[in-house]
Order: sequence, then structure tokens, then C-alpha cells
Amino acid sequence: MKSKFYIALVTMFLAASVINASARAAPVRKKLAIKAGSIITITGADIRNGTILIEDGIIKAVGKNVEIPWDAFVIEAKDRVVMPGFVLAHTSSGLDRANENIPEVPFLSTFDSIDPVSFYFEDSLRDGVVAMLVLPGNNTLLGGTGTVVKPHGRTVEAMLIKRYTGLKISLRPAGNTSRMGHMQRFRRYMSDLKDYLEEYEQRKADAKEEKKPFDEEIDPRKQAMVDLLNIKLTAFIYCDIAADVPKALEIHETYKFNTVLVLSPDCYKAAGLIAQKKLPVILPSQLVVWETNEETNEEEMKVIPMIFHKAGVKFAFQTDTSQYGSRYLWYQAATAVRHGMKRTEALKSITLYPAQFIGVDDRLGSIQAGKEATFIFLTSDPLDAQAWVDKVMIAGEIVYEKEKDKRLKKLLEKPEEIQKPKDTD
Amino acid sequence: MRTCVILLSFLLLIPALAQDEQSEVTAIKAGKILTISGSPITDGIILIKDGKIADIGTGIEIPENASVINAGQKIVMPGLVDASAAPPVRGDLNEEHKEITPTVRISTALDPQSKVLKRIVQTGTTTLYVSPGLRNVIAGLGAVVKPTGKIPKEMVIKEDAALTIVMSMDPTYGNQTPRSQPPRNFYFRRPTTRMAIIWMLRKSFFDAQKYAASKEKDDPEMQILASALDDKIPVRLNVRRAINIRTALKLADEYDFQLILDECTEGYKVAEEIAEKQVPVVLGPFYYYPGSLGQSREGREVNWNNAGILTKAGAKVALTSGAQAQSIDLLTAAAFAVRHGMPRDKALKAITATPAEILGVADKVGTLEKGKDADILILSGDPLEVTTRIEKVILNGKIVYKAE
Amino acid sequence: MVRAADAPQHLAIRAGRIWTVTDGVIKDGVIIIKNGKIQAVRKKPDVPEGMKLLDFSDRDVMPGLIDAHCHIGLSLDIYSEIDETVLAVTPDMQIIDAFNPLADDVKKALSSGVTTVLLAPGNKNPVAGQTAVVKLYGKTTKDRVLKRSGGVKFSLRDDALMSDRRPTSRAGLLALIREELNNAKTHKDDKPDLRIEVLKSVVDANFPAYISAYTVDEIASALTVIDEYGLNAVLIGAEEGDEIAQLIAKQNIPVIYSPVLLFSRDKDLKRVVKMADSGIKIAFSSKSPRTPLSSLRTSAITAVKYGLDKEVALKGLTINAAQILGVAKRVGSIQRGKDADLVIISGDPLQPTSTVEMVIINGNIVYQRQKI
Repeated sequence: MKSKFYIALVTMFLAASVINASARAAPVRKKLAIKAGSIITITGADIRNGTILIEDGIIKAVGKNVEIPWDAFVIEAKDRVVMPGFVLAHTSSGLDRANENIPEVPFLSTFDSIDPVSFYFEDSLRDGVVAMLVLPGNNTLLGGTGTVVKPHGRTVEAMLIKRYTGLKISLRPAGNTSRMGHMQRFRRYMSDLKDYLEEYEQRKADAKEEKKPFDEEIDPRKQAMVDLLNIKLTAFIYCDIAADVPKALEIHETYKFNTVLVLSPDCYKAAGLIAQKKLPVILPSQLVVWETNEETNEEEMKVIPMIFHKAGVKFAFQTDTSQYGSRYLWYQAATAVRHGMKRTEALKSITLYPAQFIGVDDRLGSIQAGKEATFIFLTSDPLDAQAWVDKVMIAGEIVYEKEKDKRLKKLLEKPEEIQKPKDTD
Repeated sequence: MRTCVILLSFLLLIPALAQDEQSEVTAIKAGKILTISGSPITDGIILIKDGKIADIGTGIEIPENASVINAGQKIVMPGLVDASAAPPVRGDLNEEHKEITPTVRISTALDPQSKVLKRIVQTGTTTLYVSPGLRNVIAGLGAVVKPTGKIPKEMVIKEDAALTIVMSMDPTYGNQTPRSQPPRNFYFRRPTTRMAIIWMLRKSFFDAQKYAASKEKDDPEMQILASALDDKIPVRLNVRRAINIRTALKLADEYDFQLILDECTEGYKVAEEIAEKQVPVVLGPFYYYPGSLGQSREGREVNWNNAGILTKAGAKVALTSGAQAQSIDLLTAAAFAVRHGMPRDKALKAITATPAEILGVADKVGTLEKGKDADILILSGDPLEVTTRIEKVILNGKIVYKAE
Repeated sequence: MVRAADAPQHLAIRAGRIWTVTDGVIKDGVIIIKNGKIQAVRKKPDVPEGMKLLDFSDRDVMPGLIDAHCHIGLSLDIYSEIDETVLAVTPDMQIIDAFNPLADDVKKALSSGVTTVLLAPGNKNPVAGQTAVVKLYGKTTKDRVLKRSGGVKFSLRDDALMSDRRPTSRAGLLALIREELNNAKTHKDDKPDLRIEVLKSVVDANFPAYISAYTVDEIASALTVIDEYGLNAVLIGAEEGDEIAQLIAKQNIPVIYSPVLLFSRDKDLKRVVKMADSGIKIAFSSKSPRTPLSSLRTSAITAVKYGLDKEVALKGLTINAAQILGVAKRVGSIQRGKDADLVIISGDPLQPTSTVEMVIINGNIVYQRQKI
């Protein structure tokens, strides 16, 4: 009888380990060491032939002569440039619908609308983006709250980096309203909110006085706006034309929100104004605009990142998935460098700064001890037009390899089977 | 006697005076000159006189009174040739009252004050092809122009450079079939299907052949079609899908005209045949489609490496920026073509010498060689890098753009 | 207003200044009018006995103004009458057939000082029809109509492009014009066709072509066509003509300029001046109803303000227009033998403060300012 018991125990053990083994195709290593030809840390100088030590998905150390523990799995990347993955501080792609029909819906969340199967995420990972703040679109006054996700995962939960991040406010008049009507709508909402909160506090105070229990919660539909007022959420205010910027600044001053401005190309005209308030800015995807000078009737080229850079404004780039070049964050940074921006600053605008704007800079945006081991392995310098993302690592795990990217292969290689008709008309 | 001496010395002076009044010479000194026609020249000099390249090479003597542009270690290359650019034309590119309009010359609608001209120059293009729109089956005649000149005539360097014919579905858009209602406007007409487009083409070629044989002289439309069939004017055929590309190749054989494939989105599927027939390809700009599979209108399948695959098969490929005003510039188009697999040297040729050949203006532009137009770019670095800036653009020997 | 029906046509006008335009300014002179024509222009203030005298010793007299391009009197709904757009090419249409001399706007225009106008079809047809030169008053058709058919109007403007008839594009527009001119050139006489006859006379340079072209590329296209077919041509509008003024001057093409007061930018207001300085003959127009006839003088005054020579400006309102329109034998200056079309004005014609006091056409007083 005892032997039967032991046999059962052993069988159970074996079964368990088999199940365990099949559940994970690739073992997640506890300790990793990446030996890279070049490491761009973003916060410090670039390191040639350096090493990054990773433990449990967190960067333990990075440097030129780092000692590698005996039990660390070594990834050879001598011909690669390793840098932090790109961070996108604002996008409305990957959603079922970017905008709601009703103008005031701050209680909505993009968490409920993100489509993990959307090509947008597959493309983003391929292009080296490791985190994006998905916010509602530009056509809703109070659009709702955003979600920071990584473009990798079968479900939104699996993609999740940070929930409940940012509340989108758009100053573009919805439907047939005028700007006047749109602003009034916002003020009325805030005024009603203020009344509601005062009454709520009054009821709370009354209950306290009467020594009665008070378990009334804030109306969940208003919770997000209340959190905005209490600086628990950041306001992402979209300005459609330059004239919206003073309005956005007025909102910032009046309610003392923690504010990030999301700009359209026209807003370059307000760069000086924005610089005074030292507010962070997310640039439009279109970086170069041509405007007609009314007097000379000639076209003049305006380079938006340079205008803001010269005014001393800190910014992050956006992308446009329908455009050739500006669908890539590296292209946006390279365009800025072409027109005179310093390389280090341009690279910060696609890594560290967007991470700061969306509040994930504790773990992303640079290669420093304590941050997440989330990197991209590039075939050459990030601003090089020929550089490809070879691998993407998120929290110590390789989640993308160009070699295994079937879709990319299909797009770059000659099809194996081409139907050739015998004759054609 | 003294008067004679004075007179004589005067006479001797005159040629010397005349020498000073001769056109000035400009010299460009650069660390690297990409001639495109041959190997790059290191620490070279280009001499420009009367708007043309007078000499190019190393160790060239610079005349005393020459104005010198010292480009230091910058890179110099020929001005770019765009075989399909945003047209500096006013208004509609399509003459829509009927589908066959061979006499429409887009050069008559050129606008020297067009706003796109400044953009064209600042992105390095010094020669471009302007075509009628794609809404007609036989749309008319295109011209090769330079972005300079006060009046349209001054812009044109080659009139009637090609006859635009469209086999893609664009001519069907807007056409309607009169069913129960009587036709209300001239859009109630053929073609509404691919079948009809090809039929109209064949009919036109057939009529043109008959006309040519009959020795009549007074039908201007037939005259132009007959010239095309006689190889006097190349035919630029707009095609996207592989089936249309094959049909185009077949028609070119059948009617024996000089074919240039325009846009050619699925060219990679027919690469060998195109290369074999030595038909040049003017590639349309390369569009991304959400979904990465590249599906789009007309069911064409995009391959990002269209240019590379065609080039590897041996076809002659020109890259373009596309006829949209907001499109990408030529240098970036070439950079992306290389990124996706086109060899570097072919990509640089594809925006200079190759389009010049295809457009029939290779005697004037496309490479830096003695005798050609002085259309020159001075760049801050490698032309195929996004971080490179165009510092100066020289057109016909004059600086027309200088970066701030 | 005084109805001129039975007014005498023999009269003398004494004036403080007579702006003859062709022979300088005569101080304290007298104009003798007989049978509606200027019989004499005297440098002395003496008047023959027994003649009715209009004494304007403290006023100025100038020739009746000529509006070189307008659409006045063209029936009830102004715009609909000037473009016959069903067909693109209508050289046989004659604008005179649409003219109503008793129209309200014609009567009201008498106070402007404009006495002769060129009537033309609009810009919506590439080949629009035939122009006419008429006076704003005449007892008989002979008195009123100076030219029943003055020339053929062509339009290179975007207005001539339509979405439902040819041409729909600029290239198509030029192809059409060339096609029509070529057809006229090669036409054989056996098949009579009025439309082709008219165009044939244009191609033979017997009949002037009035070509509407405003922008540089339109003007350049016009110049090319004029040169190609050897046309006898006049440019209408030519707003950006200063940019290629040398080319226009070289081909000796006169210009009927758009109303200057439509412009607001300095750059635009100076264009007509640059063109005149290049030697181009310029006449002013109102394009009424775009601007009223009463503002014709204002266009000239504005041009002077921006640098136009005063004498050139005055000519632009009078003799230049007459010469361009081919009616200089009858109007355009105060000279013996010409029609008695005169304007009595309170001061220098090129001063904005000067007002029109009286207008005389063919010796008839057609307008007199009421004293309040």
C-alpha cells in the first residue's frame, strides 16, 4: 500500500512538472545580461560595448564593465543598439471608436474600448513602441479617461500598464456648436459640478454633526472630474487652433489641473504663450506646415518642433499611422534633428519625456537601475533611416523578433507563389 | 602717329573689356561629389558657366573672378528629377467632358505662381514631369518642366514628353449607366468597367492605325495617337494591379508603342516580365494601409519592397513623390526604398539619372557631367538619411534655395 | 435731371479750364457746338452772337468718360443676360441684342460722367460673343450705337470652366480655343457657317479679339495664342500684368484694366502703374455692376495716388479707351470734328472732391446736378 502511495506521489509530481513545462514555451529567466554594441541610456552618455544586468524583469545595473553573475542568461547583441522602447504619450488609435456622440462623458474609459487585435498594436510593437497612453479622440468635450498599455497581449488586462491615466478634454466644438457654445458648455458643467460637491460636503458635514453614519459616495459619473480637481488625474487638453491655447491656459489657471497640452499644427503660433506657463506639450503628427504669407503671397515653411524647442517648451511626439514617415516615432525625432534639434533632446522626446507626461517614468523611458527591462534592439542608430527593430524586450521577456515576423516578411519579400496566367487579355 | 597708337591701344583694350563682361563663373568645392554617372569624387570641384556644368573633377583650376561656394565636407549631388510630382498647375487636371482627349496639353495650364513650386524646390527637385489627371482613359500630353520661369513657356524643357493613358479604374469613377432615366449630363457614358476601358483603348489605337494608313492630316486627336503608335511620343500607362500590368505589356507588343509603366503597385508580381521587355517603371509613392497587409482600392496588394524586387529582377525603376501636394519628398522616398530593400546606388539613380532617361531629358539633367545643366544639391550629409538637410539648391547655375 | 429731347444742339460752352486731352489744358476757353459736333475749340472766352451760352467760367470741362468694359443696360437680371453658357463657343452672339437703352441703370449712370461704354458678354464662355460700343444716350440708333459689333470676347478665366459642359479644365480650355481657331483657319468656303465666319475674321486679324485674362499664367497663355495666330488683340483685366509687363509691351497689346478700387493691398494697387510705366496703353473700366460707373474716375484717381502719371490717367479715361475701341474718330477728346460729349466738372477731374455738374452727349444736356 505504501508503494502505491509513493507511485501516486511521483506520478503527481511528474504530471505537475509536465503541465508546468508545457504551460510556458520559453522559460522566463530570472537573471539576464545583455551585451550590446551600443547602449543609449537616454539619461547618461551612450555606452559602447556595455552590459545591462536584469533581474526579475528589472534593470539591476548598466555600464561598461559590469560583472555578469554566473547564473545569468547572456544575450549577445554586439551588433545591436539597445535603447529604451519608444513611448507614445497620446493616441486614439486601437479603439473601437475614438469619440462618443455625447459631449460630456468623463466617466467613460478607453480600457473598455481598446481592441487588442487591432493592427495598430501589432504595427506599434514592430516599430518599437512599448507603451502608449490611449485616450479618447478630439471630438468630445469631456471624452473620458485613458489607459496606458503595451502593444502586446491577448486581452486588455494582459496589455495593461496603468489604468485610469489622464482625462481628455477637447476644445474643438462638437457637432454644430460654436466655440462660444462649446466653452460655455464646459463652464456650466464645472459650475454644476461645484454645486454638487458643495451640497455633498454639506450633507457630509450635517451627518457628522448629527453623529449619523455617512456612506454616500460621489456620483460615479462625476468621480473622474472630481479626481481631476483633486489632481489625482492629469488633464490632457486638445487645442484645435492657436486661439484655443489661451482658453486651455485659462482652464489650467482656474481649476489648477495638472495639465498636458495636446496640440494641432496651428498651435505653433502660441508657442511663446505656452513657454511662459511651462506646460508640457504633445506635438501634432504633422511637423512641417506650409503657410501663405498674406502680404507677399509666398509660402513659408514652419518647422513645429523647432519653434517649440527654441521657445524652451518640453514636448513629446505623436505619430500618424496613415503617413509614410510620420508613422514612426524615430522619423519624427530625425526630422527634428534635421532642422537643428540636438540629438539627445530629440531622443528624450520619444522616450523619457512622454514617459514623464503619462506618469510611467518610474519604470520606462530610460535605461537606469531600478527601471523596467523594456528595450528595443536596433540594427543601427535609432535615427538612421535604415535601422530596423530587431527585437523588443518587455520586462525582461523577448516579445518581438523581426526574424519571426511573418507579416513583415510578406510585405518585404517577393511572394513565393505568383499566379501566372497562360495568356492574358 | 600718336593718335594711331592711342587708337590701336583702344582697339586692343576692347576685347579685354569684353572679357570682363562675359558671364561669370561659379565654382563649387565639396568634400564629396556624387556624380551618379560614375564613382563619387572626393575633394572635387564643379565649374559652372552660363547655367551649365563647364567642368567637373579634381584639381581643376578656378578662374580668378569666379564666385566660390565652399561646401566644405558636405555632399553634393545632382538636382532631383521627379517623374511624378505635385503639379504646378491651376485647377482641375482632368478635362472631363469626354474620355479620349489626346489634344489636352497640361503644359497650357502651368502656373508659374503655383504654391507647390517653392516646396518642390526646397525638397531638392529641379526637374519634374507634369501629367494630366487620371480621370480620362486617354488623358492628354504631359511635359517636363523646371520649377523656374515667369511664364509657363519658360518652365517647359520638354513639350509633349509622353501621352498619359489610364488603365486603372479611375476613369470609371463618376460615370453612370443611364437606366430608366435619360442621361442628365455627360457622365452617363462608358467606361464603367475594366472591359470598357480596354475596349476604348483598343478602339482608339485601331482608329489611329487606320488614320495613319489613310495619310489624312486634319484630325489633331488622331494625329497624336498616330505619333504615339509611331514611337514618336512614349505612352505612359497608369496601372496598379498585376493583371493590368500584363495587359499593358501585351498591348505594347500588339500595337508596338513605347511603353512606360506608371504607378505599378503590383509590379513586384510581374517583375521578370517587365525586366525582360525592358519597360521602364515610374513607381507611385508608397502608401501604408492600416492593417499592414496593404490591401486597398482595386484590391491591389502592396509590397513595401516593390522597388527593390523590380530592381533585383533587372527592371529600370524611377521613384516619385506622387502627385499630391502633401506627399513625401523624393529623398525620403529613396531612403525608405533602401530601407525596404532597394540597393543604395539604384535608389539614388532612381531619383536622378533614371527618371531623366525615362523622361527623355537625360542629355540635360540627372547627373553631374560636363555640359549638363547646373542643377546641384548641397546636403549636410548622406542623402539617404532623414537627418540630412538640404543646405542649398542650385538650378540652372543659380542658387534658388538656401537653408537658414 | 433735365430731359434732353428738345434741347438745342447749337451751343457754346465757356469754361475756366478745358481738358482737351490731346491738345493740353486751355484756360478760359470756349467750345462751339453745332449739330451735336464740336465745331471749334477756342482759346479766347469770346462767344459768337446769338448762340446759347453755358457759362462755366469757374468750372472745368473734360471729354465724356469712356468705360472700356462694362455690362450696363443688359436687361432685368443683370448676370443672367451676359453669359449664354449652354454652348461653350458662341462667337455669333451679339451683346447689342441684349442692350436696353431705357434700362434704369443706364439712366442712373448718366450722372457719372461716362458717356460711351464698351458692352461685352461675361467670362463664362471661352468664346463668348461680340462686343458693342454704345453711348448712354442717343435719340436714334445711329446716335447711340457707335459699333454694333466691335470684336469677339474670349475668356481664359476659371469662370469659363464648367462641370457639365466642355471645358472642365484649364488645359481643356486652351485646347478648345486652339481647336476653334484652327477650324476657322482651315475652313473651306463651300459650307457657309456664321460662327466660323466670325472666327475667321478674328484669325485674319480683321476683327479684334478681346481676351479676358487676369493672372500671370492666363496672360502668358493669351500672349502665346495671340502670337501663334497673329491676332489683333486687347487684354481685359490683366490684373497681374505688371509681372510680365515687358512681354505685353513687346507685343504691343493694349490693356483694359480691371477696376483699381477692387484692390486693397499696396502691391496690387501699384500694378497698373508699373504696367503704364512699361509703355503699355491702358484704359480703365468699371466692370459694372461689379463697380458702379460713377466709380470709373475713382479708379483713375486711386491709380494716381499710387504713382500713375496724371496725364496718363486722364488718357486712360478718355482717348486711350477710344483708340482701343476703335471709335477715336468720334469720341475721346475735345477736338474739332468729334462728337460733343462733354462733362462739366467742379474742379480737376483727377481730384476726388470734384463732382460732375453736367453731362452733354451729342450736344444734348443729359444730366444736370440739382442744387440743394
